[in-house]
Amino acid sequence: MKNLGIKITGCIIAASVSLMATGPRVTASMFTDVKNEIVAVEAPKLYSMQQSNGGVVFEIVTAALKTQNETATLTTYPIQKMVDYYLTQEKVLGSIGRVKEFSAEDKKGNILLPVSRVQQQDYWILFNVKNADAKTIAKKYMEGITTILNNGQYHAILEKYEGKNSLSAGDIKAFKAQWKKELLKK
Amino acid sequence: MKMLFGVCIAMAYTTILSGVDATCVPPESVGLSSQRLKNIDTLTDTLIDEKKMAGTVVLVARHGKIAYFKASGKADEGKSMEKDSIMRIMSMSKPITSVATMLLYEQGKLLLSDPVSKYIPEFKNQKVLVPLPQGSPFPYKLVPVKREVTIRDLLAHTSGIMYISYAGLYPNELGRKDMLDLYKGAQINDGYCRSDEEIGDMVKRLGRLPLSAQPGELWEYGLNSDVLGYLVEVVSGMKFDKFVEQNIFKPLKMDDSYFILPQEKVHRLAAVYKSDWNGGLERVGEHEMLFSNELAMCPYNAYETSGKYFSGGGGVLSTAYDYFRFSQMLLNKGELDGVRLLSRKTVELMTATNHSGQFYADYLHDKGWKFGLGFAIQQDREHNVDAGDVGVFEWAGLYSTRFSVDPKEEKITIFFSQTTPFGHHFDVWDKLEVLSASAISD
Repeated sequence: MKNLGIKITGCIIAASVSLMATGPRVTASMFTDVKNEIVAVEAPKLYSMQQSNGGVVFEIVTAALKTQNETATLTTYPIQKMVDYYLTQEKVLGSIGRVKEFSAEDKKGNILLPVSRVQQQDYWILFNVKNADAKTIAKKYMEGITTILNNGQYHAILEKYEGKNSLSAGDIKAFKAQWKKELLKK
Repeated sequence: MKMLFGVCIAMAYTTILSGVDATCVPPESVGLSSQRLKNIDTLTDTLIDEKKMAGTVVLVARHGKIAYFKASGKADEGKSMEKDSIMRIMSMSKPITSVATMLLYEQGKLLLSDPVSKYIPEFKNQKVLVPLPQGSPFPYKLVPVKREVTIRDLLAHTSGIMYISYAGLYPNELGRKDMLDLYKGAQINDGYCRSDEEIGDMVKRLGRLPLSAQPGELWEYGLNSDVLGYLVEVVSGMKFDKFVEQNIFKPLKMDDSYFILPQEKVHRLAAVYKSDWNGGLERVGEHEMLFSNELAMCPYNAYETSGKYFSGGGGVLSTAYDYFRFSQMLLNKGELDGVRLLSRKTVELMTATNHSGQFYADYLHDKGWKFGLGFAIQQDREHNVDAGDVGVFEWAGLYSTRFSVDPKEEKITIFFSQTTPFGHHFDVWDKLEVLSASAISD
């Protein structure tokens, strides 16, 4: 009986090897649904494809969206020209970066919202109104940020990357005040 | 017999190169004519007399034995060229990188059909730049790849990855100007100047840029070997220079081959000379960068005894004798002096001519030459560049170095110089191929 078991296992392995050799290779990309794509110029630790959660700035964005049952993917490029291409030509959902990195054309008509202040720099998300879902998702993002600010998750993400005690209560208070101002503007 | 002995004495019957015994046999003993090989003396002497090149080293071997080995001219001001002068072999690094990759292939650590993204995630979801007609609101669009770039594409230069300096060889209808803008903006360089970063840093940026053509649909000489160098690092877990040193240079006793020269060998490095091919020969300055259109080269990097950018496409420094040993290993189908690096089957795969599909490797060569997995291979004898046999494989380096292996005649020809610009050496090389082949006398 033991021998039979080994033989059956052997047959299954042989069959699967044969299938692999003759059929198309199944790759992860075949199942990747690129939805709500956010593009950026690679910035290690802040927003980076090399970090499992995309880096501190991107993780705040995804945490906010998650509270509203939305997801987002991050694709980074080595050059702003490519980010601009994806915003204007491929109509991706948005981009993250510092305000000065967005061109006048990028800012024009698009929705620009703050994400966080990290290492004395302010980082923003730009929702691309050329994308049909941008306005809706921007609204959800605003609600999401309010939620994670209030439930402590926002603080926790920053501490995870920047270290405990790296943020003063004043930093968070300042961001909350900035956030309220943005909400009033919208 | 008298004549034979005379030739061998004149060429130094046994030469001790830095402790390496590079024995020169009488040419007739390996079926070469010593009289005819003298035509090579005439060729190189003329080059030097006419100040077209400062110095050269030429080596011809047959049946595993060196039959002609001669250094001529100068390696630097006040310093004669020696057989063991060390030179920048530039793109002749590529076959070494290919062998490094194939070592991992033989260990079952990768397949040639593997997508590069399996090891370097930045190569996932790549796009191809397709130029749009003039007057379009945006000059190009990016379309998804029909299939991912594979390791075989990198080896065969069919990936769609460009070299900045060779983009001008292709018509701009292929979107080369836009590609160049993106490459330059992302600080991609051709690897001819050592960057102050690791090879992986550049390769990861490269992976996020568009391709110039769909993988497998164009033969384009590009940064592929630099990507392979980083891939070797990822797969082996070793820095590329250490991997090559331990797995290729040491086993083959290529004792004068390095990515970074040790201080005690810097004095053996030959200087690069600029030649106008008309008697105007000028030594390149101590810290002079060489520019030609989009091409930028830093010959002074070779004098530096530290660095972290190990270019698989152009970073190796070596000697004619060391490269002979590497070539002989390939000619022997993977083995040298009892040390087997690759199997016969793998070398046969590397030298097969169907990797680049319908495309010819006509850069450097002509129609009738295909690209294998690291070098060009002569496929027929109907075209202008003829190395003497179908099946001859060879490649060159930007400072006018070249090697060729004729498997049928078991013959190796190596030419080393340090001359820029590169284009002038084609005439010399084509003639050397003829002289080497026509010295066969059996």
